[in-house]
Amino acid sequence: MPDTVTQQEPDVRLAARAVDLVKVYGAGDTEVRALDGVTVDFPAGQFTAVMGPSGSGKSTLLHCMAGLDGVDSGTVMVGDTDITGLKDADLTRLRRDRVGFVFQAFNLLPMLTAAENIELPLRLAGRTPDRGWVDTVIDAVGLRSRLGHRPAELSGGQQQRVAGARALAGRPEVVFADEPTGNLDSHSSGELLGFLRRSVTEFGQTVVMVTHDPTAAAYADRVLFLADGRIVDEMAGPTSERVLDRLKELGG
Amino acid sequence: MWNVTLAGLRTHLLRLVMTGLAVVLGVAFVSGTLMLTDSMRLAFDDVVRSTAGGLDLQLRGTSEVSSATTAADERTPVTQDLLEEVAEVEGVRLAEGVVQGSAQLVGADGTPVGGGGPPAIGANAPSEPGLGGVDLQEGRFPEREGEVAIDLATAQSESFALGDTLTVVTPRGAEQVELTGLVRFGESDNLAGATVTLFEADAALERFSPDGSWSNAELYVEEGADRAEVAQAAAAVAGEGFEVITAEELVDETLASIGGFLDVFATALLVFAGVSLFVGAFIIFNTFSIIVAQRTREFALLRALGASRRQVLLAMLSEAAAIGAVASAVGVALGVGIATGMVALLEAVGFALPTAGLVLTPRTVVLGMVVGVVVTVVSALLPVVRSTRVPPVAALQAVAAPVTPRAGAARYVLGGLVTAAGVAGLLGGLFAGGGVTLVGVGAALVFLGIAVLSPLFTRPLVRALGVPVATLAGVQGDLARENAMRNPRRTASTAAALMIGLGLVGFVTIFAASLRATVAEAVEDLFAADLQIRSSTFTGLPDELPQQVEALPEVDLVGIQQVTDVRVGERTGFALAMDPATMDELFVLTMQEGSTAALADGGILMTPDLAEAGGWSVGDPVPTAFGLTGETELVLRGTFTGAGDVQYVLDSGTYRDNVRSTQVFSVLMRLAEGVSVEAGRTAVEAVVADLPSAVVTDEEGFREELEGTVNQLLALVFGLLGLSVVIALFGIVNTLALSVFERVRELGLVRAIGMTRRQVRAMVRWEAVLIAVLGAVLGLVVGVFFAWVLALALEEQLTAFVIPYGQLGLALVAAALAGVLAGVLPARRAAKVDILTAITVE
Repeated sequence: MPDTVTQQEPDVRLAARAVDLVKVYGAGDTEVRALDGVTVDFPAGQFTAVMGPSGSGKSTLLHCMAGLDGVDSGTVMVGDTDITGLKDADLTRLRRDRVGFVFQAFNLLPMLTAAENIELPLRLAGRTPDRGWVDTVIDAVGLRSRLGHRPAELSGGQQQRVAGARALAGRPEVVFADEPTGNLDSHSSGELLGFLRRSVTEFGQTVVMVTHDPTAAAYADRVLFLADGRIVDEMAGPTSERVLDRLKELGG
Repeated sequence: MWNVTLAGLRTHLLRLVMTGLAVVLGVAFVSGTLMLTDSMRLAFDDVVRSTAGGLDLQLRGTSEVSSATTAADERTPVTQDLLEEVAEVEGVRLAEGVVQGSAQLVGADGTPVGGGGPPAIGANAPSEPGLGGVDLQEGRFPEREGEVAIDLATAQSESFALGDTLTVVTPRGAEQVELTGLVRFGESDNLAGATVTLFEADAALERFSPDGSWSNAELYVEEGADRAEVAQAAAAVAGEGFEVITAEELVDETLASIGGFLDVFATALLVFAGVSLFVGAFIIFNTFSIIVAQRTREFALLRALGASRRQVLLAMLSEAAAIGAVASAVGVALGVGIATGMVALLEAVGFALPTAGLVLTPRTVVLGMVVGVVVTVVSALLPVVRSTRVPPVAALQAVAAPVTPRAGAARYVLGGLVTAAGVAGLLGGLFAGGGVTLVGVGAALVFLGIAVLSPLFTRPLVRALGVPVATLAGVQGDLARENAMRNPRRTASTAAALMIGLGLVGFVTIFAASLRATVAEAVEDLFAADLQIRSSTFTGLPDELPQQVEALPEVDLVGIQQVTDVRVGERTGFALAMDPATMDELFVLTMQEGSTAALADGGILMTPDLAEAGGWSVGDPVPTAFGLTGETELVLRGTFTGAGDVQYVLDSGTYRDNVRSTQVFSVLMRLAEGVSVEAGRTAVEAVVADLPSAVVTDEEGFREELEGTVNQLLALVFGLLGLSVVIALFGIVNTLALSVFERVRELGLVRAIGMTRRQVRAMVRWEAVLIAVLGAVLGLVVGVFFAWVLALALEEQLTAFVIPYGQLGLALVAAALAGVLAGVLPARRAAKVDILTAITVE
């Protein structure tokens, strides 16, 4: 069944892809199969939400896809690159140049300004920021007036939007967002999700977001449902009600 | 609460080890110094007791001036007639004449045995073994001209064997002698490091006392005779100008003079140990501050659970005391290594010391422990008190990273006051005669005050220093700079520890450079001779040498310099004697007042500050005492400057009238017209070819020699300051390790968004470099200030004030490199941070 999850059209470019991923924590009696043979495609230009109950493996999937964690078997592709078996330095370069991140919290370096945080991955790579693009992103997150501020002077929502801008600043092949609205109120969540949505629709970016919030998932083009380390379902054109219903059926 | 203390110690083991290290090293220095000086004291004690203690009474001339230098006191000699008279005194079993002088053995490699360190003593062999504590170990005492016995230790270190032909240089010149015996002194194989060469009695007299009289006489009392009565009777026979003292008095006198030297030596070392502890105190303060900040929630929880402030205070103080105690114990043990190291260091710069194994006394242990614990607890006090101020409610507040308290105005007022008090102490000590202790306290207060003030200039300084770093290292350098600026107090107090070491290094460097320049200037004015012969071993030159050089056709004019101790007014000092006629040609004093012309007729010259201190003007009579002849009156004929450590200058005639020693300190020569310095040198060197300790120099060589002495001292001081710099570097390691621990989430984040391990390591290392350079810059500024103040105070002696920018720059570069080194471990830890663990910490 997992093999049939995505109908792959021949002319759709894939931003990322997982084939038969297995990730095991612990050994013997305490063995937990966090990912148990997951195969999934993330087409470019799509906003995918990954949902599932606690312990379903959704965060693990994200970490493995992003090169933050290794896998026990299977293959992870980012673009055309097989990242399984890459050395730490290559993985770091991959994350820096081809992947964007938004974490649930603590996304920013406290001693840098918003602008400096946004450009950090580019500077780490020694790349000259594409001014026009960075400006577009900054305007899209609505942070132009806060660029000189440090994280401590920004609200939680503003901080997450800075993180979003940073993730997009390098035009990554895919943005991974791990519960990006987990610590935000509904208004701030809406602003961040609206931004992620626009980045896909208007700028053609690819976003993969782990969330447990059906409202957040409704911003996506499709929703993947995980349970016990397997993909159990997917839904295109989700609404929060439909997602909620599906989750209830899954016992989440 | 005791279990809270224990648990705290267990959980933070690594941090505590790092904290303890500062205490360990400081205490090791203190206890090492004590061990070293105790051992030296014991070694001297043994030797003195076994030699001076070996006789019953000593008959000697009285001395008016006790030696301020290493030279033996000048006393009226004991003539052979007097010796024989005293031998007849009732109760005297044996009167043994003793004559001493310098006898320099030459090693197989042609260099003087013992170098310029311990004295090379020549004397007569005792008439029977055991007299004067001299025991025969092997062979026999010398029985005729051309035979010698030497001490066992020298024979062993130089691989001399009985029957060997040795070269020895005495005031009579170099000669070949046969080794017939090896001697020991009581329990010692040598005489406190000195080399001893014993001649047959007449041979010794011929060399060391051409008029045939003895330096002093050892008296041995018949069994059953009363020593005090015998002493009185002998003194009566000897009459005016002589004294008879008991062995005990002689032992006490000798030990007191050595003890005085050892006290100075111990104090000097303890000052450096104190500097190390002072630096260590900064590290402890800093570490405890960071630990307390990081454990805020823990204290809050304890308070919320009902612990009183007092209990928190006691738990933390116990923790500090426990660290202090353990670290001090380790420090005392490590002191053995430090003592061994100090012996090696002193030997490396030319001071060989007598030691008969290291001595660990209970005093050393107790003192080391007490000093270590007190320093730790006192340094930890402020942060510990802060820990008790944590309100219970803080337990409920999620504090991601410790809050940086903004430095208040009170801090800067306090820092300003402490600095001002320190400067006042310095000035008071240097200009108002407050003494060296006040200067030391002042300097410590200046460092403390600047340390309190330093958070004020940490941000601007780091920002400025970070500009080249950011250019050089790109974004890592930029982040390093931001990290160094985010907690100015922490950065500042870490840097402050290094500031102290670098401040002193800078001060000493400038002082030495100024001293070298002063020496160079002085030599240029002073040294009018073409060539000079000096002894490299302070043992003097053979009496015949001046005549031998004078006979050379290449030499036009010869002047000799002799030295002695004199007491002028109340002050005992070092006088140089020369013939005024040759002086103006060969050794030109810069006269401030008067002239050298009138010196011959019972005149004396001195430095202006000594004249001022005594209240004498040119033409005034000056009460002057010589060891041999006692008080006399000389006339102040002028004042001079720029002659190095020479305090008084006398006429050669005055010297001959009042001093028995004929030893020549240096021979100055002007070459004949048309003779090149090279040709002259070749001729003179041929004359001294068999005198390994005679050094022929021209002006440049003389200057280099004096500069060499300054450099040697500089190396010694650098060596002693080294430990405090090392402690300060551990402080950087410690602070950065704690910062890394605190910034785990940030490190995880930057790694996740694409910072390579290399970049992480570079970032941490650059932060270490910034802290180190900050400390070095602050320190060098303070060092320049100290040197400047001292130069003002010593205006007369230190005629040049030179800031060696190159060397100071080098010190800065060295500090930066040391920073890289200090950053290695924390950088490695930072790079190892596991991204997933770091970013999923809730």
